[in-house]
Amino acid sequence: MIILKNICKKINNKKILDNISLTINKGKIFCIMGHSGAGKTTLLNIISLLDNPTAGEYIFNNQNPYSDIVKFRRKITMVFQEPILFNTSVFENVAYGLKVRNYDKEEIRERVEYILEKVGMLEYINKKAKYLSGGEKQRVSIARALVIEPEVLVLDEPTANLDYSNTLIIEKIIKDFKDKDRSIIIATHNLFQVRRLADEVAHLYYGRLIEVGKTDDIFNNPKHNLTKKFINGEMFF
Amino acid sequence: MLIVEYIIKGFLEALDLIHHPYILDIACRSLKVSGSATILSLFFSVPISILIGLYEFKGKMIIKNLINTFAGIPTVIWGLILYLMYVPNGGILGKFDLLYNVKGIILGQALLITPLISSIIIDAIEKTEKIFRKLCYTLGANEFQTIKTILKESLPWILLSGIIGFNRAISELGIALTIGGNVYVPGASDFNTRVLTTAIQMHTVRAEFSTAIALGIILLTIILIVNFITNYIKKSIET
Repeated sequence: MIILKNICKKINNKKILDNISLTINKGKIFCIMGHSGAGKTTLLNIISLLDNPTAGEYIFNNQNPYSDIVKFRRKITMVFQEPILFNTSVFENVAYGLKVRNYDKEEIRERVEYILEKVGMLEYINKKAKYLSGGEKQRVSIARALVIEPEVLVLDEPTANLDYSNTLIIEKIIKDFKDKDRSIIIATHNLFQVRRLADEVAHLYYGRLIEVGKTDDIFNNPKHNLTKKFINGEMFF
Repeated sequence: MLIVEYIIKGFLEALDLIHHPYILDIACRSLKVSGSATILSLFFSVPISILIGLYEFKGKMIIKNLINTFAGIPTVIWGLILYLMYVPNGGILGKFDLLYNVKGIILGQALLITPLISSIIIDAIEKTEKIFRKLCYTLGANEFQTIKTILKESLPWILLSGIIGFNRAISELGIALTIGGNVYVPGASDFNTRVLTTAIQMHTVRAEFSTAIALGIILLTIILIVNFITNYIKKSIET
C-alpha cells in the first residue's frame, strides 16, 4: 500500500505539486487523470522513486522507501509515455530487469519468452528493438516492466501516441496483470480509458488534488465543479 | 603550359607514383603517427570525459567551455606552443628529446584532438544519461549497473569520436611541420618525420605536382574511408 502525505514539489520555485495526500491500495487499478501540465508525470516519478518531493511524507508498505532506495525501486516499475528501448534486441531489452536482479540464464529465457508471448511479441524476440513500430515498442517496454512482476506498476500515458487497436491490446495486457497483491497506477488524460480500466480515480488540476474516489462515483456524481467540467469536456486551456 | 595541363599531367603521373616506396613509406608513417596519437588521446580523454559527462559538479560549464575553446585553436598555434615546450634549452618537456621526432608529433596531435574527442564523448554521455538513467533505475539497476548501461549505450559515440579525432590528426599540418620539421633521409626511417601533409606542402612549393598529387590522392582516400565509416556509425546510431 502506498500512502502519500502532503507531498509538495517545486521546480525553480514553481509549485508543480501542492499538498498531495493519497492512499493507493493493492489489487486496484488507480488512475490519475488531469490535463497536460497538471503534474501527473511528476507525481508518478515521485511514486516510482525517480524524483524526490520537496516536502511531505511517502510511506510504502508501512516503511520509508528512501531508507533503501534501490530495494524499494525494485518493487515499483514505471513505463514511460515515450517507449525508451536499449539499442539491442527485444530479448535483451526485456531481460534487463531480470539480469540486474541476477536471475539465472535459463529462468531469464523462460520468463522473457512467456511475457513476450503474453504481449504478442514472441516472434520479434531476436529483432533489433529500434526497428519496431511505436505500438510494438510500447508493448516491449510494458513486457519489460511486467517480466519483473513488480508490486506496483506505474504507467505514464501508456497509449498516448498509439492507434486504437494498439490501445486495446495494451489495455488488455494491463487488465490481465491486475492481481490482489499488486497496484497499478496509470496517468492519463483519456477519460474513456479511465472508465474502461480504473477502479479508483484521482483528478489532478495544476498540481492540486481536486477529487479522489471510485470510478463510478467520480463519473456519475462528481463532487467538485472542476471535476464535473473536466469530465464533461468543458475545461479549456 | 596551362595550369589545367599541369594538373592533368600531374594526376596521370601520380597514378604511377602511388606504388612508389617513397610515397608508401610516408603514407605508412602518417597512419602510424596519427593512429598512435588517436589511441594516446583516447587513453586519457575517455575516462575524463566519462566523469565530466556523468556527474554534475561546480565549474562543469566552465570546463566544457574551455574544452570547446581548445578544440578551435589553430594547429599552427599548437605547433608554436609545443615547440616552446619541447625546445631543449628551457622547454618544460625539453629533456625528453621530442623536437624533430615522431614521438613529439604523436604527443602534439594527441593534445590537438583531445578537446575534440572529449567534447563529443561528453555530449554523448550527457544525452545518453538523460535518456537512460531513470529507465535503469526503474528497472531495478543500482548505480554501478546504471553507469555500465549508460557507457554501453554511449560506446558507438566513443568509437565515432576516435575516428573523427584520427581524421583531424592525419589532415593537420601545423604540428607535423613545426614539431616534426619534415625530415626525410632515405634509409634512416628512425629519424624521419615526414608525413603526408608536410610532404604535400613541400612538393607543392617545389612545383613537383605529380608527387604532391599522388600523396594527396592517398590522403584523400584515407579521409574518404574514415568519413564513410563515420557516416555508417552515425547512421546506425540515429536509426
